[in-house]
Amino acid sequence: MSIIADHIVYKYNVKTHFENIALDEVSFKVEDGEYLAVIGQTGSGKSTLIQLLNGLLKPDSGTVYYNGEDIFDKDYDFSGLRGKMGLMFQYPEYQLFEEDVFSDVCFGPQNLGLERAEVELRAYEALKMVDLKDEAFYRSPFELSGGEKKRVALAGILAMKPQVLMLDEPTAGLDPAGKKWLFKLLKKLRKERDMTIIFISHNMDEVAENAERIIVMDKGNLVMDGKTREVFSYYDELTGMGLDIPTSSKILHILKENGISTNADPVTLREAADEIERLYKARLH
Amino acid sequence: MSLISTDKVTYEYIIRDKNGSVEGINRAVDEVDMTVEQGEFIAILGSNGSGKSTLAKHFNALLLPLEGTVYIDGYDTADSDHLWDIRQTTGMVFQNPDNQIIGTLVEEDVAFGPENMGVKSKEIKERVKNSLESVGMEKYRYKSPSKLSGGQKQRIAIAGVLAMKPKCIVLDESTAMLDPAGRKEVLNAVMELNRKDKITVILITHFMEEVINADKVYVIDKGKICMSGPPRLIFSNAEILKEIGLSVPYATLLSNELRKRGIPLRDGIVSNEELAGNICQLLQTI
Repeated sequence: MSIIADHIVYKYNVKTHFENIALDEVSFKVEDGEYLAVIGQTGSGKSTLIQLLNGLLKPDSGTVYYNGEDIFDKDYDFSGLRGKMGLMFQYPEYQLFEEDVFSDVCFGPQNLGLERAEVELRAYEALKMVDLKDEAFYRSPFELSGGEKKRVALAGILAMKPQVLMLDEPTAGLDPAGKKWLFKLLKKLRKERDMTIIFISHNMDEVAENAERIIVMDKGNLVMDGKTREVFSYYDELTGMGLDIPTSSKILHILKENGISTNADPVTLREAADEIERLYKARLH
Repeated sequence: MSLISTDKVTYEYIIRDKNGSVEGINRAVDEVDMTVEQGEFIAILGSNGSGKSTLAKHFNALLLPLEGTVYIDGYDTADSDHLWDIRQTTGMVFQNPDNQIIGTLVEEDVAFGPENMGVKSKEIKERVKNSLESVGMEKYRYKSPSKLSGGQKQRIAIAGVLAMKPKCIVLDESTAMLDPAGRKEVLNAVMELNRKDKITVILITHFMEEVINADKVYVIDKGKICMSGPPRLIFSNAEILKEIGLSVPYATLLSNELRKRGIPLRDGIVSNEELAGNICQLLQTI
């Protein structure tokens, strides 16, 4: 079971003066249960990429295989794919449209053709999963705060019980508590439902703390693909592409520039603390 | 006289059900007293739904208090005779760059405010030029705003406010939708305006790192001010901030962890450079 991107090419404004390659021969494979972050500057092709994986955009050449099947093949059960791969857009709070929260969450499973009772059960479970209070279920989604709207949007996707969850900058606009909450939920979804998670982020600290693997996009090309720690060890290459790096790496980098010798490449807060503690204790003795 | 002063400002939203009957009342701003002096760089921190944006909308009379009073440069915002004086004193920049750009050329967009104020066209040209220079966007004067990045669009929005020659700019989560590079662009532009042109800045945000250079930080929770003071003092209360859904800068978080492990770092660290400097000093003096 896997997702394979096979030499995907995607162009905008084909056959006009503005023709522009958004993705250029992008290939990679994601195994079941992976926790993957896609990073890259604004305009590097990240969002286009996940919309292609999800079948929302069709590549100009190349294709995507989901569990061995070509999702762009004319015989492929495309509507079934919607239930298997969930995608949360960057500002999902603008996509709520039903009269009340519960109906909004029912929309997805309803379109899967499930029985009404099953639809409602799934919607209820999903709303519980995103920690929305019962009294909010019948409120208009437009009266909710930005953070609550995002929870409703996520519940709408979870109610379809997808195997893969893709999230485009899920923490944009969330406060620190909201961010922490979201990653806790993703961790739980992986553990309990064995879901594959692919998220886009500009926040390298949250990437470092959560993702196990990183794909780096630059000007429509996949330029790096590796374990989180390995990718972040390319300090100069990443900063050269205009990307940020985890704060822990930055702090250790300043220490190195000031003549403190260390070979460690910490990416998380705990790792940085461990290394600084080690340096301190080594000097004490 | 303070540029902005609020006296027990209270604002409520009414929650209605499908049929329009009142279901509840949400007190978004609850007896807030604050003062802002000319030339200050003020930050307002608060979690999603804390009331910080509702409060900010009182600073240029987009909202009027249900109870209490807001004075802007001496004018009571409830006094509609001075609405335009108030709106000219404090300009607002909002969250979504795409919702506040209206011109087909950058120049036209920036000129919109002063045109509506009846400024003479020769002076408008001058103001547009100066405003775009202040935010480092003069090169884009004759370009279409639609081709700009998020950070650039926000800088155009700031220029549009500057062209009205305000005394104060309120940035209502204006960096929330930007990538790190865009956030830095906007923040630098704003800090420069504050430093060079002495424009009062009120920055509303939930990015802790953005407020470390503020003169004063107000922390809002459930519509009330729960803390105020210089950033270092605010960030020394990591526990309280965490309880209300906020956090402290990464460097503060890491230095707290290190201190917990017995490493004698000094208090009040808020930036990466300070933390690294303090660690270097410590390691080199052992």
